[in-house]
Amino acid sequence: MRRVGPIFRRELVAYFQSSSTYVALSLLFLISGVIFFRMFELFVHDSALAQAGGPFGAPGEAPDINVALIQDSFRLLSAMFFFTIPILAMRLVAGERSSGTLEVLLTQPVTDWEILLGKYLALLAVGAVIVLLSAVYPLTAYLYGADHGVAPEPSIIFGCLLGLFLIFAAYAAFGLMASSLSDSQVTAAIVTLIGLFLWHVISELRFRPEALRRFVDEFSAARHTENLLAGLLSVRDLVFYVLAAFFFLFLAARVVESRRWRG
Amino acid sequence: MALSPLSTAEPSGAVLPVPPMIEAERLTKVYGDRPAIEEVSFTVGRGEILGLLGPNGAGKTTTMRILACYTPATRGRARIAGHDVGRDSLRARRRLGYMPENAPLYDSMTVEAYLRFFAEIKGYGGRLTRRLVDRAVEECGLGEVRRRLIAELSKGFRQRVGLAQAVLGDPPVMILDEPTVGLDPRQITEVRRLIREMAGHRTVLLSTHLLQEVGLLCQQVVVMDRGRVVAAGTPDSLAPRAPSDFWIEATIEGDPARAQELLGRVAGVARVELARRDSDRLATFRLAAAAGRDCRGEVARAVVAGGFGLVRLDSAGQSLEDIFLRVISPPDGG
Repeated sequence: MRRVGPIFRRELVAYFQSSSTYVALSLLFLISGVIFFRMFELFVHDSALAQAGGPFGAPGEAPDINVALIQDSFRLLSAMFFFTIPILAMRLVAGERSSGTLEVLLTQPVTDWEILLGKYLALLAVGAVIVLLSAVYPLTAYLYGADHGVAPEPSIIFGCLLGLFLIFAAYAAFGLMASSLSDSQVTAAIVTLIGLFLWHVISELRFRPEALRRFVDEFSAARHTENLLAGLLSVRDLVFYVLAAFFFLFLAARVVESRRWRG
Repeated sequence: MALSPLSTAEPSGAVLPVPPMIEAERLTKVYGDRPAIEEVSFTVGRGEILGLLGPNGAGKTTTMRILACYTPATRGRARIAGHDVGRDSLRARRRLGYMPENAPLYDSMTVEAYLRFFAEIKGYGGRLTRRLVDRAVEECGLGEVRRRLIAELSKGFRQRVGLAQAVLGDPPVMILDEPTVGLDPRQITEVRRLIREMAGHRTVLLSTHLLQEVGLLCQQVVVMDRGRVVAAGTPDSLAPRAPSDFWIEATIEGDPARAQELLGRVAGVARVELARRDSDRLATFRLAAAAGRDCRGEVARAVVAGGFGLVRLDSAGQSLEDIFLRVISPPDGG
């Protein structure tokens, strides 16, 4: 495992030297920032409206800052990962395969596992940066809320930050696996996007009988995402994401190994 | 060059059987249902340079990828310094420096960062890393580009960076796939000199489709064609193994078809090929003399007696090129 270090460091440096990283992060925070701003406006507007009483004089119901700003902004970020992850993960294996450098790497005295783990951890480090940067949204909400006596629960904020990182970690492992499937980064990105989307919507499919629907629901990312972003950090959801990450990492290693056979 | 000898050197005077450093034993690799190589066997002894020679698509790269632990063989065994490339892959890889075709590199890194990365990957740390990088830089003449980005380097320097990666950590075995392809003549000369210097105590397997290169660099040659070994030996020993025809080139004035017919009847001529038509009434033929006997006298007499003009008559020497072409594709069409 000693050799994971150099691979991790090289990939991390490559991330911060690559323009696609900045494109992915800029898009993520530009779009989510604009939407958060609208959400914030709406929240302020609705709160004011509630205080002034409803349009027909009846007292309106004030929006809950925990839901309207904290959870919704994280839900938005986690949905944006459908686009961020493919851009970040696509080059990890597919890029090296198309440039030929993978052949150099795979003939070094390192195991396929060490290579993939190093790459995965570098992607996770970028994920940690994203999660830290996204703390600006709950922070904004907190500063506003503290001024107006509706401060959000810190436990919910931290739960959401951790949940966001877990979601990133599971999606990232899927992206790495998709990247090892193909020589083409574009293909890898599309497979990642479609795969993540399907993984998310399988709970929406109305399977029959009910037992099957509930079974499928257990594997849906959407359901566990909902739980995590409700700030209710349960061991079950945590285990789900950690297991999913390991599962896709394991698949990635199998794919790399089987592709050795095809030369 | 001040390179320390391998620690495995035998005590002087002791007569030990020297195991081959590279062993390929009946290697077969099948993609789908199409075999890329079949029953490829050869060994390379310690300190030897062996050239894998063959046209593009002969299976050289596949053979090297198996030996370099990149792709497993469908059947057969391969060993590097006694370690099986399948069961004992990591140990084999530790004794191996491999440069794939076209020396793929990380363009966004500097030469130094690139080499440091691979030194660390190979398991060297701290001060040792710096020493190994320094040595590889020196050995491959990369001093002036050491801090440059790889993306900015010329093809010749890129090739040298690839070689430096392979030579890092002083592995006893080096496998180089087409190390001189795509270089200009000056770069080719330099890379060849580098390989010759690197060889020293190391065992080198290199592939090429240039005959001249084999003659210049290698003690041993394995000729491959369509996935099989078709000849093996020293570059000199290959010549007698080929059919020992004596070739004659004759340029004749007159109707080419009739001239060809006439030449075919000359005693001592085994076969006649039209080499080229110089004009309507002028053609050059290549004649294979039976049993390697020089029959230029008979040819000259027959041509003149037949009423043709003999413009030129030469013995066509046997270049390595001719032998190679004959070995890889039989003259009768194949």
